[in-house]
Amino acid sequence: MTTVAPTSTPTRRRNPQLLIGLTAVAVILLVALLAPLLATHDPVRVSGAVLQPPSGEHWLGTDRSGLDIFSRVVYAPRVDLLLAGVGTLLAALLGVPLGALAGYAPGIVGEAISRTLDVVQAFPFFILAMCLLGIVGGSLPNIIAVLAIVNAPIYARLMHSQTRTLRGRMFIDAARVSGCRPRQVILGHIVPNSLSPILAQMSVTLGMSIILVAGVSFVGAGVEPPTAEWGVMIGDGSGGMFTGQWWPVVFPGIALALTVVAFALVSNGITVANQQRSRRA
Amino acid sequence: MSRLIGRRLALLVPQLLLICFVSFLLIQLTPGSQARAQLGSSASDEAVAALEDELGLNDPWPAQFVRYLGGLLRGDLGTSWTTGQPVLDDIARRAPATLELITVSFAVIIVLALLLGLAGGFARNLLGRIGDKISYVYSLMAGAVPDFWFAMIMVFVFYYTFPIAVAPVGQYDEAFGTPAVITGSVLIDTIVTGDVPVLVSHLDHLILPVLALVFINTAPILRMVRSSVGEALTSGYITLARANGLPQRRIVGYALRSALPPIVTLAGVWYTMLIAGAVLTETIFSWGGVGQYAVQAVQSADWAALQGVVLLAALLSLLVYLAIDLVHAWIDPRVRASGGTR
Amino acid sequence: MTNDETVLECAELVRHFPVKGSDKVVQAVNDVSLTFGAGETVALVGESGSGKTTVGRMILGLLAPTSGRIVYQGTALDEMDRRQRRDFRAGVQAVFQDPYDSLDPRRPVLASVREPLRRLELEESARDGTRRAMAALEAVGLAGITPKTRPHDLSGSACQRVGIARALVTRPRFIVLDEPTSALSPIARAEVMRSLHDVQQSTGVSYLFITHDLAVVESLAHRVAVMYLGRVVEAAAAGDVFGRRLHPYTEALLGSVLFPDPDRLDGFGVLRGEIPSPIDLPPGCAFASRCAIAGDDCRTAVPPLIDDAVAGHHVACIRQLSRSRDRQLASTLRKETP
Ligand SMILES: Nc1ncnc2c1ncn2[C@@H]1O[C@H](COP(=O)(O)OP(=O)(O)OP(=O)(O)O)[C@@H](O)[C@H]1O
Ligand code: SF4
Ligand SMILES: [Mg+2]
Repeated sequence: MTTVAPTSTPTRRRNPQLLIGLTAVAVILLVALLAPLLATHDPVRVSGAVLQPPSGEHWLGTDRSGLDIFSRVVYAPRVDLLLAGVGTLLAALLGVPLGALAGYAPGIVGEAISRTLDVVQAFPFFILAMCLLGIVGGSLPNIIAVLAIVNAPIYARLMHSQTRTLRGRMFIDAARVSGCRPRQVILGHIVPNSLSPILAQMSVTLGMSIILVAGVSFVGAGVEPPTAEWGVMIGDGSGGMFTGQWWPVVFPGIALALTVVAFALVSNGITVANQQRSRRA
Repeated sequence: MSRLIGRRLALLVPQLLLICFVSFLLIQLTPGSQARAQLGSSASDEAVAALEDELGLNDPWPAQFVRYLGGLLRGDLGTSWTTGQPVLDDIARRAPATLELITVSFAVIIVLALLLGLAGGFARNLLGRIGDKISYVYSLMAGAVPDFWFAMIMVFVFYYTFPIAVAPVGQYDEAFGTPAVITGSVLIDTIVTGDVPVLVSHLDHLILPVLALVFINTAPILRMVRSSVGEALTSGYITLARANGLPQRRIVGYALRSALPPIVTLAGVWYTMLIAGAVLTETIFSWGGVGQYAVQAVQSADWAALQGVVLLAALLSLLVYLAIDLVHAWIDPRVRASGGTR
Repeated sequence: MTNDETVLECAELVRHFPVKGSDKVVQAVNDVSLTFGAGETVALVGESGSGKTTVGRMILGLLAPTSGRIVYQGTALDEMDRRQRRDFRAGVQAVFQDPYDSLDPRRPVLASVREPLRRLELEESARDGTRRAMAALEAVGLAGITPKTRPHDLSGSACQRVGIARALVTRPRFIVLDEPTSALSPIARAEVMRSLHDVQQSTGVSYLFITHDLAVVESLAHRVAVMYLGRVVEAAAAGDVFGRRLHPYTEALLGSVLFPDPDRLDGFGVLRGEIPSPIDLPPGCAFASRCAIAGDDCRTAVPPLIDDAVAGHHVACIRQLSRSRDRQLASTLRKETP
């Protein structure tokens, strides 16, 4: 009898991107959660004179309707993260099975799915989203649905190539010999082994979705004013940039960008962690 | 090679059909009856029903789709109710401005990305490492900042705070006259006709939107150039070329050539991204192109106009993808031999 | 242990792979027939690219043959009903070449070993499955596997024995071993060989042993089939193949064993001449380009695999057949192939 000796001792690798990213995301979630405590004013009620610059009373000033910008910035991730989060999740749930099917099904089926995806991806992302939302209206469920639709092809693509790569691995043959049906191979082996690129992509999509929501809201096809949402705020304040009232635009933009950076760091971190792990194995 | 082109072109037909179908589906989504929209809300129900019959709106959808396709083939994208013009005419009039904005930005992006990327790829010293750090931070930021927000910041800084830029409205200052329309692109037209005052004014107006697009969109291509050049430089034959004392210029050439295929792909994809990126930028600078037209269409529920933009943008993207594939086949001997990567 | 009962049989297996971007095909396997008796080990040897793995994958039902049949316990693979299909899956197992790659890196190895029981509904409960998986691991000499142990916690040979345990857990009648020892150190190789031998002794399982390692062939194989470019060129009892070496290719292959490169059969330099591409196989004997005794008559038709006078010794070479006792058969053959 041989006893099992570990061939490598798993060591904690340095992964500052993941650490910083996760911390930042946690902080943002906390802000969203604690918004009622943090906010100094009601985010959708007039609380002072219009277009006040930042002051002791209104830390980040007021917008052209007299709403407190700090309170709105703090409330905004509730809407933005909800939309982007659920939209991203649905996109992955939609795209991953489709891509796995395209990669695993032999010949014509897989080819047909990937060619269809090519076409869907030919529609410029933002224009398609804006058009769809313009037509169906920017209710929260509609925005989520549109985010899911325009992002799903990314996951299908990713999963397609993952499946193609993994399909040639011996453990997939082994799983088939063990009696796994195609669905079990995909769900039991291919998806779990693709988890880390999927998660990395989800983190990117989350950030991109926040930008997308802000963009469609900016043109008035997304979240409806006066909801506290970063894009709505930027759109509402845009006129001020030509006349010197910068604060209604600058602060929500910074908050938005920091959030997207946080998710981008998480995404990079996941990729790095995965590389470290596969190098160890 | 010709076989590859043939196959790729054959693929284009079903892809085009599918694009038209998706765009057809978009109209089906629009709220309310198209007949009612045409007649106005005061029309009687009978009149609406009669027009519906006449337009074939009660036919099964395949028949409607075929009719829609027929319309497309004749160049009929419907009529915009805000401008009262055929959508195709509207778009054709605005497209040169948009294409000019995108293409100029794209050219600047590519030149910048290649220069900085190559410099980064070759700099193996401390400077290179600092450059890497800067480009990392820049990429993170450029990817996180919404383009329309950044464009507004530029306006605030360069027009309001330090008034170095002209009023960011339109493509040129009409005080200098109106350029003759040849291609529709003010840049080309003024150069061709030698209309210097308008040209100068146009360049003044062009610079901020281009800078905004460039800042946001250079990062991914720069990173790609940087990493593919880095890879190429560490590959065996470049080392060999170095060892053989080949001049630096030749080595750069070699490295570029082998780094080219992925760069071409990404650059092509990014050109299509700029089509979408231009939408909000145009709106902020009142550029008067297709992007602004689309935003106005959304805001005024002008579905025919919007659908026309979506359809043509998708067609343009598809053509760019086709071009990428063909360029790939041309620059990458492996693809040439095997008959296609995708 | 060997007896006359046939466990599995493949007949006239052909597998061609389409070549991307052309109408040609890779002729990976051409007309291969093999029969496996209970408790028998058949070694499949040949250079890299000769189609050994492809034969194994077809037998395992992982790859559909272009034509030909695989019959397991009397029923053809493509005619099986649900229940027979399940019996086939449980009864025909595999051990793969790369010990790390053949285990799902995301799963505890215990789960991998239990998987056949779970998927084929052969366990009474999860606990029963785990218990039997543990037992299978112990049977190949792996103690100390915990439910948390993952492939990267283990050495190569331990991983390979996990793979063997997985192949054994359903008590199969037949196992395809595709170079199971090639990725291992010599000591680990001996350990794994020992396990395989013991298992066969105690369970009477049959093996298709795909290998480059002639020492393995000598120690474990009852019969040997030699493949060259998709065809079996010689097949016989192990002793006969080693002793008589009728086919010139076998001769060259084994000739090198006297001064062996221990790892690879194809590492020797005895053979000269171009190996034809499996995409453009020449007419006639595929070995003609490298064969010292080839003549024009070799290049007209593919020499069939014919039973030499010694029972069970098959060889596909017109000259060697004529050198052997049955000259007459050879001459009729040559007349038939203009
Ligand atoms: N999926 C596939 N697609 C195309 N060609 C294939 C495929 N699998 C195998 N081949 C080709 O079939 C031929 C036989 O391959 P196979 O893997 O069966 O050889 P092998 O005898 O197992 O070689 P090795 O000793 O290297 O494992 C080779 O020419 C190979 O390139
Ligand atoms: S048939 Fe001819 S070429 Fe082939 S092995 Fe025999 S002698 Fe050599
Ligand atoms: Mg093999």
